[in-house]
Amino acid sequence: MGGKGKSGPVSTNNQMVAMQMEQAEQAKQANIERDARLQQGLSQITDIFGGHPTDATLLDTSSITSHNAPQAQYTYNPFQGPFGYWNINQSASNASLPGGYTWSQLPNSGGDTQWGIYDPNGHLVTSAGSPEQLARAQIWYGGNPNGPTTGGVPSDFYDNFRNSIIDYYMPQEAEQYANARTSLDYNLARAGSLNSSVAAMDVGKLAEQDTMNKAQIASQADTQTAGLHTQMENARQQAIAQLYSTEDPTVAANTALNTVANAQLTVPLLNPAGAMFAPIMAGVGNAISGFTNPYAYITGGGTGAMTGASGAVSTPSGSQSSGQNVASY
Amino acid sequence: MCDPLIGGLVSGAASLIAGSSAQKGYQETQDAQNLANIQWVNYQNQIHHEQMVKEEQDRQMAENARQDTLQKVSPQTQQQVQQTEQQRLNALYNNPGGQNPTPNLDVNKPSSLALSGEQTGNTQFGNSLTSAVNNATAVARGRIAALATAGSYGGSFGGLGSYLPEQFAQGGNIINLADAMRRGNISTYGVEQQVQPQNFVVGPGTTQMASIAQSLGGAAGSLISKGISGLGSGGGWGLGGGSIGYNA
Repeated sequence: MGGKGKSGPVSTNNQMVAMQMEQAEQAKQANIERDARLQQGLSQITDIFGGHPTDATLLDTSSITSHNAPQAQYTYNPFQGPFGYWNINQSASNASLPGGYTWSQLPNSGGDTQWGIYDPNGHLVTSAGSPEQLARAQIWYGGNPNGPTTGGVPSDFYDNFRNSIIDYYMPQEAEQYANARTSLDYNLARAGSLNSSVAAMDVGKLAEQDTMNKAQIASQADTQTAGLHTQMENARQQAIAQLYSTEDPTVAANTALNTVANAQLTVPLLNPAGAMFAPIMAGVGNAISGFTNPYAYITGGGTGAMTGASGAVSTPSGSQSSGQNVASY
Repeated sequence: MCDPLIGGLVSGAASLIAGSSAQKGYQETQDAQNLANIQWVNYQNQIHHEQMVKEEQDRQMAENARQDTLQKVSPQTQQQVQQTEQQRLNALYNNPGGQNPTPNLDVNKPSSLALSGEQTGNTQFGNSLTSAVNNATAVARGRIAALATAGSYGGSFGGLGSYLPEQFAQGGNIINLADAMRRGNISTYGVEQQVQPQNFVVGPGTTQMASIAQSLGGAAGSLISKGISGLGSGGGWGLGGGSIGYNA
């Protein structure tokens, strides 16, 4: 249009309008690529932390190379589009991938040439600056999203953490329990009440403490495991935050992978177990009352105190003290 | 010498042709501008429609995530999650596992309950021992159940203290993604809106033709006037000096 001596209409701003429309198209394309990167990045982080359906298939991208890259034929036809205004003829040939996926050079987004993978519906899945980078994309397709999953944080990851805490504390608990039973043995034997109802009651108390101690250990281990789970979730959120900062799924995915790997180094909070069994006074009260009861000496011949059924057995020297008899663990 | 009247008529005819050509050029310019305006309006309508469609898609995506999260944190779901976790904790607390766990006392085997030196062959003592351990076990189980219940509401592995923040975080991730996509779309829409309509003016050829028509029209008027004056000096009528042409 235009030109010296030309009759009829002459556009005075067609070049500027063409440039504006080209930039608008490039912005639109850049936004499509950004959305695809965000979605793919989020999907990748979800895969890394939560796994993917067991029956999903990893897209084989081995055929994506520079040597067999399809040539793009994007032509701009300003003012001839569907609305008579603008048209981009996207006649680039897409190269096939398994599962109905394709890959090709992307329309110009204003920067360097980009390459992308399209899903069977023609939606851009992800993009990269070269076919080689594009080939590194990890795209899982198919599978039942509500079915069992694989990958991600291993299923036994948290169980191992919990069991390691339990395994640390349980032997201590078992040792203390054994000591408590032994002490109870001695104390009851010294009191002569080994086969008494009092002994049965004390054994019951000890059993209750034992069961509760085990439960407490399991409870603390589970609470610490919940802390580890929270830590992993925070790591996931950090990876997602990085994704939004970089809009590059690869960087975010590497962050997520490192987090998962380093999480193995998380050390549980293992403090030495304190005294878990409360002292059980076996027969001591009777022994003391035997010594302190003046009437007990009246018929005893002055050599010691004999008390009743649960009686404490005094030594001839009467040297048994309460301190020695208290079962302390 | 050529008759002025004939010259005037020829000039007039040429002026009419040039004027017609110029008129056509102006009309084409007006039509082109009108078409460009219509195309620009159509383009703006198109991008507005596309923006609205994307906006609705992204809004729907966020809304679905919100509804899904709401479902997962509903009182009914929370109660279900709490009860499931309570059962899991109860089982865990009663059987913590570990590599070398001390087995809980078996009330079915009184001899296993007995301390060293105790004679469980004594029926009365054996019954007493079994009864005592039974009671102790029942008390312990009650306390463990309470501990499991309390833990399931709080910060245990699958307790509500862990479950709810995770659900909100996962729902939030989808909502944030939709928000990021919406912001990107709005930004792109802003760029597209800045595209101006194409502007047309009449071409120089049209202007020249209009100028020629004007000149010829003037000349034709003069010549015809002059010729008429020569033919009938007593007639007293003429066309005057009116120009024929398009006045640009």
